Amino acid sequence: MKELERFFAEFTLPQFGTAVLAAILVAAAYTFALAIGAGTGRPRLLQAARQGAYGTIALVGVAVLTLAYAFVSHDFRIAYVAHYSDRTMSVPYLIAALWGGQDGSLLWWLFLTSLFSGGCVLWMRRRYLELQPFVIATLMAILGFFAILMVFAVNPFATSAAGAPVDGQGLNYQLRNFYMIIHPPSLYIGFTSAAVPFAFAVAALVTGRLDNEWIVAVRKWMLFSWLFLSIGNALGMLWAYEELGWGGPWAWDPVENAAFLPWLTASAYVHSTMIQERRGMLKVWNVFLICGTFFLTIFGTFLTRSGLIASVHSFAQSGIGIFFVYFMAVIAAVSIALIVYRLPKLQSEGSFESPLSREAAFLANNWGLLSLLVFIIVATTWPRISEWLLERKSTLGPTFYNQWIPPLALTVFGLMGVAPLLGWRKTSPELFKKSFVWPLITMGVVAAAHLLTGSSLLFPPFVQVDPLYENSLGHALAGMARAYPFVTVALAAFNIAVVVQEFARGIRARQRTNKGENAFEAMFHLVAKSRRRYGGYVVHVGIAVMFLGFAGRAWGVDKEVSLRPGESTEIAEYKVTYVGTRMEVDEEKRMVFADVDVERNGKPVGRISPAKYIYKATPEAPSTEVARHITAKNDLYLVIGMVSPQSKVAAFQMHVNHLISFIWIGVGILILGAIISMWPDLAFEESGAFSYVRAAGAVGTAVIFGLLLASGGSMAYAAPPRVRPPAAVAPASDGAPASDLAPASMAPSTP
Amino acid sequence: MTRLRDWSRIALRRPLRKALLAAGLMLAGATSLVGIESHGQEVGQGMVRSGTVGIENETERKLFWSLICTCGCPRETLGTCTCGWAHDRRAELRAMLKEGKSVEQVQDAYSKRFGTQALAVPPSTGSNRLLYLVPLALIVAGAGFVISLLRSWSRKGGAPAPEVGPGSAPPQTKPSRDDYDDKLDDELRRLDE
Repeated sequence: MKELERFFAEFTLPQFGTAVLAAILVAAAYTFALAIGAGTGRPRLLQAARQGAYGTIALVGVAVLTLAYAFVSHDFRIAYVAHYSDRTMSVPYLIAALWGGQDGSLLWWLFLTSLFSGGCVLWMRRRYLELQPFVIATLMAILGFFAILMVFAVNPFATSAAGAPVDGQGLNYQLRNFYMIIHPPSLYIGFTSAAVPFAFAVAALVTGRLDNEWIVAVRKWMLFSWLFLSIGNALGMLWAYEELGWGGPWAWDPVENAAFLPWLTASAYVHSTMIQERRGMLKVWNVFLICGTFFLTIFGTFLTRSGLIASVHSFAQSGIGIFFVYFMAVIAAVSIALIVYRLPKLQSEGSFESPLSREAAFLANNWGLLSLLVFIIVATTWPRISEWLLERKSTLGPTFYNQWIPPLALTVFGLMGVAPLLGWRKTSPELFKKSFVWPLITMGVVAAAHLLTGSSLLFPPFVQVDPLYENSLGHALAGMARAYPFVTVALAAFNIAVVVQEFARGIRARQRTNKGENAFEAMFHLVAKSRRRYGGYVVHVGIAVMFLGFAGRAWGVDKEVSLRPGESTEIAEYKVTYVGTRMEVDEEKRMVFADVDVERNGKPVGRISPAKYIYKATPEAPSTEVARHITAKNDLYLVIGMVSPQSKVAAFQMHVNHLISFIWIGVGILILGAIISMWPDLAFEESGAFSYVRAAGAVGTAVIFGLLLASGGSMAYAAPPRVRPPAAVAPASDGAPASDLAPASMAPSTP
Repeated sequence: MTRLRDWSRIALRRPLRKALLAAGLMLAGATSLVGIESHGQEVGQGMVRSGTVGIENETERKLFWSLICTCGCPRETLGTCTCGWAHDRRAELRAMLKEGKSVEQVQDAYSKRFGTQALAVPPSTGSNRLLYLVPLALIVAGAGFVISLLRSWSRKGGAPAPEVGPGSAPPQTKPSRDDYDDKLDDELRRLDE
C-alpha cells in the first residue's frame, strides 16, 4: 500500500504524458485487432471496434491537452516545453509552440488525424457496414504508427537529464507571428484529412465492394482535404512573402514542394472521380490517386522531418527518417498489392466515344497534373539521387524550376479552360464550334490588347530571359519563357470567359424553364442546385486570377541600393526617399526602423518603414521586417539590410512585384468556390454528422479567410501615411545614444 | 466464418500471388534505403537573415542568382542570401567580373572551388541530363499511356458492348444530385440547338 502511495506521489506530468502515449499505442493496436475481427466474420465486434476507436481518439485528446497544459503552466521539466517556450510568451504562442518543433508537431499531427478518424467513425454510423471494419482498421494502423514513433523515437514528454531549467529557450522569433498560428494547422488539416479517403480506399479494396458507394462517400472528404491543402499552401506563400523577405511568395523549397505534391494528386482526383461516378471508368486510377495522395502526405512529412534535403523548414536532427521510410514502404506495398489483387474487379464499365469529350479532357488534365508531380518529385529529390547514383553533389535553385515548370503548368492551365466546354461522351461539331466561339474571341481581343498596349503599361507581352544552359536546349527554354507572360494573360482571359459563358448559359436555360426569374435569382438557384459544378467553375476563376499573379513576377523590378539619409532613388513608377533611422525598444527586442517616403508617379503616397528587430534572447539572429506599399497594380516591397551606425547609410533591397495581389485575390476566389462546392446540403441524403463536419469546415475556412483579410491590411502598413507608427515604445528609447544603434547584427553576421 | 473460407479460397488465386510479389518488391526496395542518415538543422535556422545583398548590375544579378551560397544556409543563391559569407563571396566575384572575366568563367571558378553543388542549376552535361530526361521520359510515357488507354476504350465502345446508348441513364445507380446535372446538360444542349 505504501508503495502504491509513493508511486502516485512521484507520478509526474511527464510520466503521465508518456503513459498516455503508450496507452494510445495499446488502444490503437487493440482496436485494430477488433476491427479486423469484425471484418473477417465476427460482425458483432464492429460495435466494440467503434468504441475502441473513440477510446483511442479520446486518449490522443488527453495527450494533447496534457502537453498544452504543460506549456501553459511552464512545466520546463519536459524538454520540449523548455526548448520551445519561455515565461514571457502569451497563450496563443504557447499553444502554437505545440507544433513549433519536431516532437510536438508529430503529436499535433496524430491529434488531427484522430480528430478526422473520430469524425469519420461518427459519420459512418450504420452506413457502409461492410466497409466500416477495414476503415477503422486502417485509421488505427495510421494512429498506431504515430504512436510508435512517439513512444520509441520522439516522445514530446521526454525530460532532460539536466533537470528543469528556470526558464525555457522560447519559440524562435521568426515563428512568432500570426501565420505560425494558422499556417501549420491548416496545412496539417489538409494532410491528415487525406487519411480518411485512404482508409475508405483500402476498405473498398479489401472487401471488393468497389461500386459507387465508396467513391461517393470519399469525394466529400477529398474535397475537404484539397481545400485545406490549398489554404495551407496559400498561407505559406503569404507568410514567406510578408515575413521572410525573399521578395516573392514561392521559392521551390523542398518543403514547399512537398506540400504542393499531394495538392496535385488531390486536384487530379476531384476531376477523375467524376468520370468514375458518371461513366464507371478509371476505377484503378482513382484508387491509385487516393492512395497516392495519402502516400505523398507522409512523404512530405518525411522530407520535412528527416532532414534528407536541406530546406528552410527542416526540423531538429533526429533519427525518425527511417521510421517514415518503413511506413511509406508499408503504405506503398499495401496499396499496390491491393490494387493488383483487385484488378479484375476494377475493370472499366463505360466506353470512350470521342476525343472531344469531357472524359478525354479530364484524362489530359490528370496527365498534366501528374506530369507536374513527376517533375517536381524528381527535381526535389535530385540532390540525393545525384549524390547516391552519380556521386556528385548538386543543388537546385528556384531558377531551374522557374524555367522548367511553366510549360507544364500552362498546359494544364489551358486544358482547364477547354474541359468545361466539352460534353460528356462526345461533343457535336456544332456545339463544339458554338461553345468555343466566345471564349476564343475574348482571348483574341485580350491578347491583341496586350500586344498593343502592354509595353506602354510596363507589362510587355514578351520579356527578356537568360538561358539556363549555354546550349540549344537552354536557348529553346529561354525562348519559350520569353512568351510566358503573353500566353498566361491570354489563357487567363480564355479561362475566365469560359466560366462566364457557362454561367450565362446556365442562367438562360433556367430562365427558359422558370419564367419570371430575374438573372440573379436564376443564378442563385442554378448554383444552389448544382453547387459542385458551379463551385468548381468559381475555383477555376480563382486559379486563373492566381496565374495572372504568378505572371506578374516576369515584370518585376529588383534593385539593391545603399542610400544616405535624404537621398532618393527611383524604381519603376516609384520614387523612394530615405529619411533616416529610428529605434524603438520593448521588453523583448530593439527595433531599428528605416523611414522611407514613397512617391508614386510624382505624388507622395506615404511613409513606410522596413525594420530589423534585434531580440534580446537571440541578438545574433535579427529578424527582417518587410515594408510594403500595396496597390492593385503592384507592391513596392522594401527590405532593409545593413545600417551603418555612424553614417546612417542604409542598404535596401527593393522589389516592385507586379500583380502580386492577384495571387491573394485568386486564393480568396478559390476558397469561395470550394466553399460553394462543399456547403452542406440539408437534403435527406446529406443529413448526418458529415454535414456538420462540412459546415464546421466551411465556417472555419470563412473565419480564417476573414482573419486573413482583416489582418492583411493592418500588417501591410506599419503606419498610416505620414504618421509615425505608434508602436509600443519604452520611454528609454527616446534619446538613446547613437551607439545603441549599432547592435552586433548591423554588420553581416559571421558564418 | 464463410468470409474466412472465402479468404482462403481467394488466397490460392493468381492476383494474390501477384500482389504478394509486388509487396515483396516494394519492401525490398525500401530496405535498400536504410542507409539514409539524417542531417537536419534547427527549425528556422535557415531563415536567419541579418546582412544585405548588394547587386550592382544585371550581369551581377545573373551571376549571383546562378550560384548557391555554401555557408550552410540551405539552398539560397548568392542573389538572396544575406549571410556574411555570401557578402564576401559577392565582393570576390565582383572583383573577378571587373577583371574582365565572363559570367561563365566566374561560374566555373566558383564551382571548382566549392564543388558542383554550388551551382543553382546543374549544368546540362553528361549524366546531369538525367535530371530532366527522366521526368520528360516519364511524362511522354504518360501521354502514350493515356492515348493507348483512350484507344482501347474506344475499341471496346465499337464492339457490341453492354453499354447503353448515349443519352440514356448511365449503367450505375448514382445519387440524385447528379440527376440535376444531367438535366441541366440536356437543357443546355437543347438551348444550343
